[in-house]
Amino acid sequence: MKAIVSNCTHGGSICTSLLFDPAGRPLGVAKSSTGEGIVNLRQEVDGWKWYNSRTEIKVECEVERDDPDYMLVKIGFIPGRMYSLRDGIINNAEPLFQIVKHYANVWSEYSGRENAPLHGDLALTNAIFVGPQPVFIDWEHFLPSGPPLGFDAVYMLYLSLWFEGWGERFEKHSIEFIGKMLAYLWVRQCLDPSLAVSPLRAIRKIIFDHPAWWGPQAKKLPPLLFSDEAVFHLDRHINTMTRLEDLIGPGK
Amino acid sequence: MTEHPNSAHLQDRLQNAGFIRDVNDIYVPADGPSQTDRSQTSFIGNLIERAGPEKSLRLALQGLDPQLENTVYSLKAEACLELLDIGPDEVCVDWGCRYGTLALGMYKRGGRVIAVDSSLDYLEFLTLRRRQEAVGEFYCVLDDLQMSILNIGPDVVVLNGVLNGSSSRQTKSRLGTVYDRLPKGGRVLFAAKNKFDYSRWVTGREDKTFGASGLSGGNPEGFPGALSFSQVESMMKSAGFSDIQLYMVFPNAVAPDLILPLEGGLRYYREHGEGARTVSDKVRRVVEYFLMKKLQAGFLAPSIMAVGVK
Repeated sequence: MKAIVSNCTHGGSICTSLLFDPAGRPLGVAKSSTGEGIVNLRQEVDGWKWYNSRTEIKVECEVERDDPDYMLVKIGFIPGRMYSLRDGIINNAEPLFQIVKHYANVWSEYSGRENAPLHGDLALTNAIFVGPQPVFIDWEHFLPSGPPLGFDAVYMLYLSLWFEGWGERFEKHSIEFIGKMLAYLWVRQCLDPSLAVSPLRAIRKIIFDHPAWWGPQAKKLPPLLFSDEAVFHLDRHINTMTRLEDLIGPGK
Repeated sequence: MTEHPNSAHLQDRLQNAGFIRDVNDIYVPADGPSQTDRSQTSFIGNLIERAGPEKSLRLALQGLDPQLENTVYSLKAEACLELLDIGPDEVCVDWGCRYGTLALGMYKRGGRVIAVDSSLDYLEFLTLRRRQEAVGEFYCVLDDLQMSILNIGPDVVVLNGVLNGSSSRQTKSRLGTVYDRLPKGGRVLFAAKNKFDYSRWVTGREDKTFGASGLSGGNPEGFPGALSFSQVESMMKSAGFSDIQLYMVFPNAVAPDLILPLEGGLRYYREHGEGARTVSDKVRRVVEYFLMKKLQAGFLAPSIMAVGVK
């Protein structure tokens, strides 16, 4: 018995299903039948390998079929809890902090380097919580050498902000929470200076400059949906709060 | 185009089943079809003319009908093939193939494909598409409702929306024919509109997406052939299938977002699709979420799929 739980979402070309064994235990299956989708599945496999070598909870990821026009990858099922973006930032403060903390733990070895690996779609909805411990899923945009360190965590925070008010309203507490998370990343040395000042403008620039990292989905990424005015005000608020500008100078 | 090493064998099977290859590379019944649909002649002819020998068929279709181009080249439609576990070299029949979306999907999964339709127009389109997409062992066959093509003994048969508009008696009889022709372990995928589809009551409109495929060509007046889950199960059983899996399909079988088992599948239900654009879409989303998540009313899902194993 199978369940197709995600099918070519957000313009992508990967279909994800759950396969149940006779005892009812599920196993994740991701497949694609396009060139672009197959490239993404190879990235998914590489991402899991990279991630598994750095985390305590290991998730099985095995290529089952690799034909010229079709690829099928089996991914271990992760029994755990997921949180909804609809509940806003403050109601999700604890899981969001756990994600930022986990990011810092996993990526910390790249501190001081010019580039770090890219998850590419880190979001509250792409983390499954096994107890308090998040497990990052959906590695289809993985790159071993991508943006400066901190990108994915900052991206995840602003994506949460976007979905909280659909880019039209911004809760003061939520912006303050983002400021605190940025300060945490800075203290953990997991935030590149180029992302520490005016962070929203900085991650937007990275997306603009590297659309190929996301393919056709690049233009739909939530950080690009903020108005220029919102970007200016949000960055000013964050800069005032973190005072990192005083330490490292204005953002580029 | 590279020939599959076993292609001669499948060609022999086609000839033994009474089909001959015509000048357009389409297999037709040697004694002539009892019913041939030519209703799409002007549209397909225009499309093929626009595409020309070198140009992309897809670009030509995009120029003529962008929405149809989206449907015909949709990867979403292929999701249902995941329910069939198509293995390399299995003989797969897409009965009522129309533009060949599922037939090509079966080919990509390693199947040796026989794409069947009663319309020569669609088969001419698919013959060209097949050449342009450089696929190998893939045969286009003209057949009618008699289903004589199944005499070749396929491993997998897909009937996706093809029987909409047929009466229950006809549907049952065709499923019986499929069962008789399948080998042990052979599979059939059958899809139908759900007669209890909640969305018809919410939006007040019929989902006509099934009209894009099917030998019956869809029914512009609605779907008198719509079935309930219990009817589908009972038809499959009376056809002879004992191993039957029923699935709820959201929002339709042509471009599904979710395909969940009727038994226990709603625990994996979630909001799906792109953001709702109209008020009626928003209402539909809220109602669907409430029905599926809170009331667990899977029998009201928009469409039904069933996989039967012989």
